[in-house]
Amino acid sequence: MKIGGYAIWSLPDGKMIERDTIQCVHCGGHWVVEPGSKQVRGYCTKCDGPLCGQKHCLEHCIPLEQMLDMIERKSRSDYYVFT
Amino acid sequence: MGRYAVVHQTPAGTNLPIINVTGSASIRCKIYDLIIGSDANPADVASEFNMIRTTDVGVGGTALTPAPLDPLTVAASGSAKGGTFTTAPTTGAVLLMIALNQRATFRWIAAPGSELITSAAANAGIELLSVGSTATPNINATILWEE
Repeated sequence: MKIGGYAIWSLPDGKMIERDTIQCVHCGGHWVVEPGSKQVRGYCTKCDGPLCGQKHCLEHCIPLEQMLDMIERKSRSDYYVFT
Repeated sequence: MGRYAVVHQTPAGTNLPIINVTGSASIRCKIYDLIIGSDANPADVASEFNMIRTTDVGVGGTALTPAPLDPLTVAASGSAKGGTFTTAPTTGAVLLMIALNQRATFRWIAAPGSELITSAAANAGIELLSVGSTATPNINATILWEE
């Protein structure tokens, strides 16, 4: 799976916690990869990418680029649902 | 196209915006780097921060001047404001959730092509929000974006 980013916590004892983040193909949000976290995520087979697990991302296939276009054009009356 | 930085410091708290980055009707800001720390006296303060979409710029706040990372770059089209706001910007989808102890420093870097992107709509943006905190230490934040 494509890594979307990299998160680093620098602790006061000099140690560092480093984690990858993955980006949702629908809302564009990132989450920190924590194996065993039991967080339910998803995968969109149309977009061929991971989903963050938020309800609107799981229920509607609106790719990030399209969602940004919708906000910009304000072409949908329900665009606030996705912002 | 250029890359810009804004920095700001303001106390943490409950639903307090730290920095709100907004594009313009013709510009999308692509946030690719975020640093959060605190210069307050060390203490075990638990805080939660979100990078979250905003649909307006709120009321009040301190206008921040984006600094070009390359001095030859033209001034930024995007803009930024720092807390404290009289009325916080209206928020939307959460794009990144961060749990952080005040003694620690956090940095997030986007992979190329995976930045947090503001929509090119008037006053639409992405803000760093202090969602909750067990105290109100000063928070120092840096946001870098490309436009």
